[in-house]
Amino acid sequence: MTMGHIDCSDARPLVPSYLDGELSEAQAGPLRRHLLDCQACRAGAQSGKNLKRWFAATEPVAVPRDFAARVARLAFEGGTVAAPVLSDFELVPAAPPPRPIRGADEAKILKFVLRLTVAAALVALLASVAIQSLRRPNTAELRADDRPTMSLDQAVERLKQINEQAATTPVSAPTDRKP
Amino acid sequence: MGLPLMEPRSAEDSSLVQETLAGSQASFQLLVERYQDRLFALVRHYTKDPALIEDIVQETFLKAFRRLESFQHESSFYTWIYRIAVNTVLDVMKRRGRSPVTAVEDPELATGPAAVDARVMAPDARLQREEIARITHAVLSELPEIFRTVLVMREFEEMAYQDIADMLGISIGTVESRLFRARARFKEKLLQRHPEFGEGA
Repeated sequence: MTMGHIDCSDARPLVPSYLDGELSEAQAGPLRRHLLDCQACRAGAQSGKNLKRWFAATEPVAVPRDFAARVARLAFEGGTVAAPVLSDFELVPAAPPPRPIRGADEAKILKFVLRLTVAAALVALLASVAIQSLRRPNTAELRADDRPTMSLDQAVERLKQINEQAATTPVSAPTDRKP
Repeated sequence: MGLPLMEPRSAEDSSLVQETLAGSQASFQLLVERYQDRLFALVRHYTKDPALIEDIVQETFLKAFRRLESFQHESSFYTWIYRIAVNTVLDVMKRRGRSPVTAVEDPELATGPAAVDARVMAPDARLQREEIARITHAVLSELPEIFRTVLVMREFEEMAYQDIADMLGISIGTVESRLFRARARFKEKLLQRHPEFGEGA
């Protein structure tokens, strides 16, 4: 690019910035001269200007009359109270607030019921533990042999006693030995 | 640059901010009254739902109120609250399933190189201002958020490239290329809807 003279390939990328007022005078001067000489680039610049005209108007937006007062009040009431989020197409009525507990009586009753429930649960737990331990079989019941044990000596002793009883007891059955 | 963001009444704004911080609800209400029209108009570029517009502007002012102590008086109050408003709008759009900032460039644009060279006429002089605005908003609503945002900032808010770059956290070069693409897309959509505004039509 020679000083003060630019061609189309230099000029065209500069046009949008030129129209946006973003070029320094050192850049804008040569471009302006080029646009005077070059019909094609001038037409391009005109198209850019035409486009801008589409943005000259804005649709009027109605601000609600009490908007500022409402926002200021919200801000000073805590600042975190945002308006309910509105849907795209309809005003959603605010959800009813959760029903408050009416009065201290209801609160007391609720507390009492809660304590009662806790107490009942504890009693039931203790009872189940007690029943469990009562029904628990003891070691004697769990023995594998169901007869009382005796030592070998006792067994021999017992056997002697049985034999003696048998010897002294008169036998009713007839015998072939005659005295 | 950034002409519309510079306010001659910034001194008054500063006092209103100080009074608000000192507990004056009336001063805050004055601040709201002062900028509500501009913020409603700004948000209108993103949605035409009046209830949603109101909701977003209200949220903007409440956010500003909560952060009022962080307001640096070297920038104008409007610059400051404008930034909050844009962020709020973009947040809401993101929550609604659009992704204004994350979509880097629009691949669809590759299909219409002709749109770059397409030429449009200026709006017909017989059109009412409201009618022009209605058409423009309808076309804007069809654009991806990243394109709409730069067009709104540049064309309606007349922000300087540098201010747009700062606001969006992108380079000036990106602002330029994004604006270029946004305008090409705008022309394309405008001519689809209204071929009669094509040059030579």
